[in-house]
Amino acid sequence: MCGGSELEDLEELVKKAAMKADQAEIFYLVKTSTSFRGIADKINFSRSSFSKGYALRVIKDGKMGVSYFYNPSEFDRALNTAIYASRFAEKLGIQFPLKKAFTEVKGVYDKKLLKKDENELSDCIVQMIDTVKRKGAMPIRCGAGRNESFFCMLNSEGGEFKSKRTGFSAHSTARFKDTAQTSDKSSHSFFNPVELAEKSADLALAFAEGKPTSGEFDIVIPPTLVANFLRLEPFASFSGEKAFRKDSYFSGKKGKKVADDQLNVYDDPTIPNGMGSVKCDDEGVAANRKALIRNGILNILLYNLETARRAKTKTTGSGFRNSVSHPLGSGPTNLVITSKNITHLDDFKGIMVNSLIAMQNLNQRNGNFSCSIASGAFFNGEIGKPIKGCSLVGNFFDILKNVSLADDEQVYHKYYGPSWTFRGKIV
Amino acid sequence: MFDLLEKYLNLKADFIEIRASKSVGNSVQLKSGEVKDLVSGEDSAASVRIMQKGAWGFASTNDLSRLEWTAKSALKMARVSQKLNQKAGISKEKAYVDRVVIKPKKDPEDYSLEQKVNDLLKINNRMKMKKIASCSLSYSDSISSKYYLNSEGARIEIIFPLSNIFANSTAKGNSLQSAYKSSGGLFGYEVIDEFGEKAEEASKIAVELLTADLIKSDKYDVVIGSEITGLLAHEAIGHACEADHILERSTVLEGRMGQKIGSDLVNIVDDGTIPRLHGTFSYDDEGVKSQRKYLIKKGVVNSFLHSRETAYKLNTKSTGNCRGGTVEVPIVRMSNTFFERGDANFDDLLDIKYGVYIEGFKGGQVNTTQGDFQFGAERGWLIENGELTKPLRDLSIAGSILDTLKRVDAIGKEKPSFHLGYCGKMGQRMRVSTGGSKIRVRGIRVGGS
Repeated sequence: MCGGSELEDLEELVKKAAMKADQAEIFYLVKTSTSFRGIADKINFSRSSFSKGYALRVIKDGKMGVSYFYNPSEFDRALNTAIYASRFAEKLGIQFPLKKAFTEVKGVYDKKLLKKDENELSDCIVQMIDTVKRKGAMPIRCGAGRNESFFCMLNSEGGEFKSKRTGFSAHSTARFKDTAQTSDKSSHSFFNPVELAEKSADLALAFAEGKPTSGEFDIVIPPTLVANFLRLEPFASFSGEKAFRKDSYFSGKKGKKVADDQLNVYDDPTIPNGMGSVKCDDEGVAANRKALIRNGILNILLYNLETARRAKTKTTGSGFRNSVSHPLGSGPTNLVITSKNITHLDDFKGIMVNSLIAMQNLNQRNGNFSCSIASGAFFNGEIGKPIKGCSLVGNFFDILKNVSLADDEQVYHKYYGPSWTFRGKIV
Repeated sequence: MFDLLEKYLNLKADFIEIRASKSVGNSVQLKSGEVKDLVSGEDSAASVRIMQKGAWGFASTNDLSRLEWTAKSALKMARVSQKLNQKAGISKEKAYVDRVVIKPKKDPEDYSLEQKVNDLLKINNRMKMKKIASCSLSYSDSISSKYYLNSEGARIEIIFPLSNIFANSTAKGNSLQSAYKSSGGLFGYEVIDEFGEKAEEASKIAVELLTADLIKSDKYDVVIGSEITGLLAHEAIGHACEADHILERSTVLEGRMGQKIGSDLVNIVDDGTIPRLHGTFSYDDEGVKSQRKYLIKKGVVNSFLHSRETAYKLNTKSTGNCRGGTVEVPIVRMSNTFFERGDANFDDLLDIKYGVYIEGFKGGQVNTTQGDFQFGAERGWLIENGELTKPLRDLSIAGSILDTLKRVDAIGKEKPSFHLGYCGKMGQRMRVSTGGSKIRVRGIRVGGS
């Protein structure tokens, strides 16, 4: 996918950049993907894509400038732009990392996945549609796709890494009466997407024709919903930069109680096969497991090279890119949640809230939320009478302080943990 | 560019379309007065969509030296997709040959990054005030060229500017509260003119929210400001009118064309032709001219939004609503979606004994299958006996599509105002705008504490 000559070319570009700047770094990404999507009972489209790009960062007079380009012929323009942009940056004294060896995390690249041809991938769609129908539900949409990516970073100080990844993801949305439910999964290797079709149909059948309810209940939310909560908070609030800028609930709370005494939250990039697993971050800084919250106490926030300098601390190896054209940000890898405060789901009586709509309305800074329940049901060891047309209201940070974990440990994308239970209000 | 693309129309297929784009742009982010990110760059991309024997294949690249690979991959994917007795087709539409150039009043390329940074710093200074813990400004500009050609003879080139600016302020008291303002659309550097006042307003609102109260979650009579009215038009009605959802059978409006679902006062429009708005475009990404259409007219479902593909399946014409980034498969999207104005003045709207006035949106979502929606409001006020009495915070409204429009009993007479946004659908992000006049809705769910 990426030949040695391209890497040699990168070295030349870094050298060229370092002649005009004090230090230089190039991040290179190349990605191919193939995917199929079904709508109702047909394949709606199939897609192949190829993309590549280069992110360029230079340090001149202690200030960092950023640019990007998609073709090496555009390098000179990008270099001039980055050097010009550095004039407006704050003098932070950032140094790009020196040479260091990293060991790749196991299971993030699977050659066997790449042997799955387009016919096999399109068969997944056919099988998912058939499965939802067989279950007595209606297929609405589904998809399956694989991708392969190669990325590397070289800097003028000798720092470098190369990495390659494979990914397979699939999703299925099934409808029964007034309810549509989605099930999705991603992995570095192939898995049978029929299991997702079955799950989406089962959920649609279970949660159809809910009725409104209200009151205070013991609430259980599955890992899919926990992960969605965590995409909003505290994902954003674990940002060291946000805390430093006093734009986060966690600002000034390091060393203070922010969660239930038994709750631990880890950022763990070392998990074999993990979707967020990396040997180092995109700046070439080693990635290690770290406790973000330990026994309910906020322990550490996440920084990249730049935000660490601003906050006068050290990078946590959490500098990651969404694309070459966007500035490098910071964030967690795999989020692992553990607690000794365990609720046995077989004995649990209350309400299961399976999905919410408009979760982005959660106030990122104070944790308040009021979200409509898209699917839920009374729960007594198993799913009972469905509910809908009502809202779950509360405060996410209060939930963190009172949460108990269920005994159904699961993996959902980058979330490693069980369902959550807490006392909550439905109106 | 057309010369480069033209030869790939010769592949053996029932229908071929090629899209390409080039753009040059800059973005600057200021956080608490520091230049956080300043990025400049040029992007280019191309994609090929092919229909053969009733099946679609699509391929894309951001490397224009790989056009041949892209075209052949699209053809291969169309062949592989010929399973499940595919019956894809496209509606017959006029094949336009056109060149559209939208010029900015102030070409962003005429202004140095230095000037842009200095202008943003001036705006940032206006945002600083007591109790403001942090503030940020995010500015971006671009000039893009888009090319569309298909095997039916369409050849369209569109050159247009796009500039946006966002201001966000966070105030700290006993809690943290934030507010934001934005401005943008098919403009050039003029987007920055007069934004200082808006940015200052964001800080003032954030500070005011520190002393605002929560309201008990319940049903209230609500007056909705234009930002949330627009969200209601877009999220609750617009998405439910998208014909791909109709075909998926995932919208409560399926089978309701011509049915009355709202009060006589309700007229909801999707109009991609309004000059310079954020959701405006001359031709959609299937080469169909942008149009104005009533989704709801006098409370009756009047039109769905179509691509050529959905129009073919539902035996109608495209409404020019098929949109997608160059490397994305184009899908049915809205443009500028809004409530038309009514005849009530603000005092008339406030004719409520005990209710809520809300304004400023904080995102929202709709479940088109179940017909439920929820939107967040930036702030609100309690209405008591026709007067705004107490400021409120952390509000949301929720309801059912088929019920809520029937509860609209007054619409403001002010000219609709529009607000820029980005709509997410099927993993794609598209520029749109939403808006309207203020409306009064009787007895809907308000989320608070």
